[in-house]
Amino acid sequence: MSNKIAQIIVLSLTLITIITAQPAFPGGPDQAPIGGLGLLAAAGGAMALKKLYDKHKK
Amino acid sequence: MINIKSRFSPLTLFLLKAGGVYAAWLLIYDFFILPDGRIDTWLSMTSVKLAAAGLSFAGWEIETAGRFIACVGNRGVEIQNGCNGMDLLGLYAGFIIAYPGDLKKRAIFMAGGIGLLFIANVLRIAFFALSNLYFPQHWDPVHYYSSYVFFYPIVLTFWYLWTTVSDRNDIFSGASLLSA
Repeated sequence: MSNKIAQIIVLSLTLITIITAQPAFPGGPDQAPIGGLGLLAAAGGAMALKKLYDKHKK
Repeated sequence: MINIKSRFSPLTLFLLKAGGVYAAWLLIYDFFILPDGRIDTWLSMTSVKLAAAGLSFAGWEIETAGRFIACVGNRGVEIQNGCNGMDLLGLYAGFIIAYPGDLKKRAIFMAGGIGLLFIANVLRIAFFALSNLYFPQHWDPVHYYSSYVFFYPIVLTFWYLWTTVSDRNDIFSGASLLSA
């Protein structure tokens, strides 16, 4: 149960990016942040989970 | 005292640590480092200087001013704070910290990966300047997808290596050399 709760908390932490995002000033320079960070994080998370799961099964 | 390691599974512990480190990094970066600007400014300007030096050495005529870089007579590129790879470094480090492994190996992977990502960012900036010279009409896709070419292969490779190496004792400890 505590594992489930912890996993839900951690997965919702990714929403912090949305919470802390502020609208840009009108007429300000265009921001061009690095694209695809969310995808990278998801890929890394999946890789680690698979490795840990495989290790746990052995 | 609560023993966190025995209370949570390794999977959950990894998620907790990775999420915690990345969230802490985002908060520190968004509320302290980015508004302060000194580290970002240093990173942007140093990267631009190195990219300009590399392109000049390779024979292109380059002009720079602070965080601007351009091939002479062409549209320039501005490396703004928040677009210089700092958030990526936090994500990379978060994974290395969260995945279980030896402290010494972790330090090597952190330093090596961050150093390589810095060099990749210099190459990316140089590529931006050249893309404005040779195909300026494709700026948007070039900018967006550049990270998929310059950063993500390095990050994913280092993460994969870390998950593999962190379980072994032979690579950095020299055990394999001693037993040979």
